[in-house]
Amino acid sequence: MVQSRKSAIGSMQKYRELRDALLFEDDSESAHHLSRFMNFIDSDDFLQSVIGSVVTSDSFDFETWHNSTAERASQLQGVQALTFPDNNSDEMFIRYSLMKRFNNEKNGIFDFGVLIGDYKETVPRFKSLIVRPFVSELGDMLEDAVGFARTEERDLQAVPLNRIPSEKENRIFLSHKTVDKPLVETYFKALEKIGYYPWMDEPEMPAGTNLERALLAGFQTSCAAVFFVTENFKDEKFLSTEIDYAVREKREKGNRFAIVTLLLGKKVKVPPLLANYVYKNVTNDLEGFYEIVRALPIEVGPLRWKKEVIESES
Amino acid sequence: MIDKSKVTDDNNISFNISYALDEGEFLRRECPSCGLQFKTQVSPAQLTGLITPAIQKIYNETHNIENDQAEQLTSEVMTCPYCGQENSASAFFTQEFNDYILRWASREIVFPALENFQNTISQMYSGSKSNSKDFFSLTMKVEKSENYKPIRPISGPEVPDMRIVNLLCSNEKIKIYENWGETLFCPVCANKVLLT
Repeated sequence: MVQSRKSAIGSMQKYRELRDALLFEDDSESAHHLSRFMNFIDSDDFLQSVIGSVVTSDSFDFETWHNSTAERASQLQGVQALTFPDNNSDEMFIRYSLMKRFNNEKNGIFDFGVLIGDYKETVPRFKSLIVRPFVSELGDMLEDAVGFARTEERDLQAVPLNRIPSEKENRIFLSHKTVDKPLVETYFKALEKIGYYPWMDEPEMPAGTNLERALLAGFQTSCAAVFFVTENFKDEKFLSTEIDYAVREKREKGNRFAIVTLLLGKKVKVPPLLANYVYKNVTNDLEGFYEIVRALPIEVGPLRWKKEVIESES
Repeated sequence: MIDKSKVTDDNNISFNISYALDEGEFLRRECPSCGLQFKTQVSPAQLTGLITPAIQKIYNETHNIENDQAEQLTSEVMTCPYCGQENSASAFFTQEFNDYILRWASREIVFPALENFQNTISQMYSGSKSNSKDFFSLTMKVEKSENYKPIRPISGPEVPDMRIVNLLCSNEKIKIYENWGETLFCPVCANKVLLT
């Protein structure tokens, strides 16, 4: 499919080049350009796929039309003798047949003057009355044909470099009491699944890790801290340190760091140091997830099919 | 066609001209520096704004009119998405576009002016002049030649050889070559952007 579209594009470019030469180059060279143009139409696969059925029509009697036009020209000399049927395809067929005839015959385009009984300005008249309407219609047909051949492609996104966070600043720190880990893991998996990089003590702090340094590093590489405040949450020890780190990061990074506190339970209260930042009473995980994503200073990218979906089709 | 009745007192003209854009109304551009092509989305009003100064200039030159204000090309600046070179928006017209404008002007502005000139000459210099006292008399007949109007220019079909890029910095859309790499410059705000 990609190759046929590529060759169609090449055909269209060649078509335009030959068409413009025929229409706009010097009249004295018209026979040459007409020959090139007709040879191309008759031999190019893409053009034949578009126009083939029109130019090989058996339903319209060109010779009868030609003879009746010549007869009319004997009385109405000039372009008044030239009439076309209402049917678009028949009209195109006539124009194509005329161009082909004049290309093949000895006197070439000047036979057009013979046909209409008027020899003034034969070449420009031929271009204006026969060629131009033909190539205009053919151009529309080509455009429609390539439009259909085109595969659906997703638009690209162009993100300014200053909007792309580095790997050292795109984490989301999830602060919680250890006993609440099962709850927070649900949020961890959901955030990871949609494209974020959440940070949790497990797996980020395997056995033997210096806890203080690991926590600090976790905050320094984050753009947000989410505090899961349940009835188990107490502003002391490690959780207290995490609140301090979060506040410090917020002061240093400004809008590029968000502090979100989820109050999970009717009797919980927001820790005093976090009261100046976003906090929400949430009654379910979906609500909590929404509040996190809404408050984050980063957003995930454009839609695409999952890798396994594409691989399953091959 | 130019409607002469719409030539204003300060010799500004109104005209109808059409040019084929691709699906999505993108106009093909070419960088005057690196020669690579891309497309930008233009509304009919924007296209008019781009074309008008060029048409006005040709009209003024043909009719020997000085009207610098109307001829002033757009001050809009554009950046090449590939090489980052900045230039006036009108410098990014393709040769095809320029040819189309010139052919249109040749047919709708220059040819009628030439016809008019020929008619004037024909009327001025036809006839005979003689002086009965002089030995010589002069008879001159000027016939205006029948010129065929230049063929109406044609634009399109537009080749679908590019893909759309949504620029998050300027909220605009452009089209670039399908096999282009990862980074670009935004033609509107000149920001360097990454393709995703």
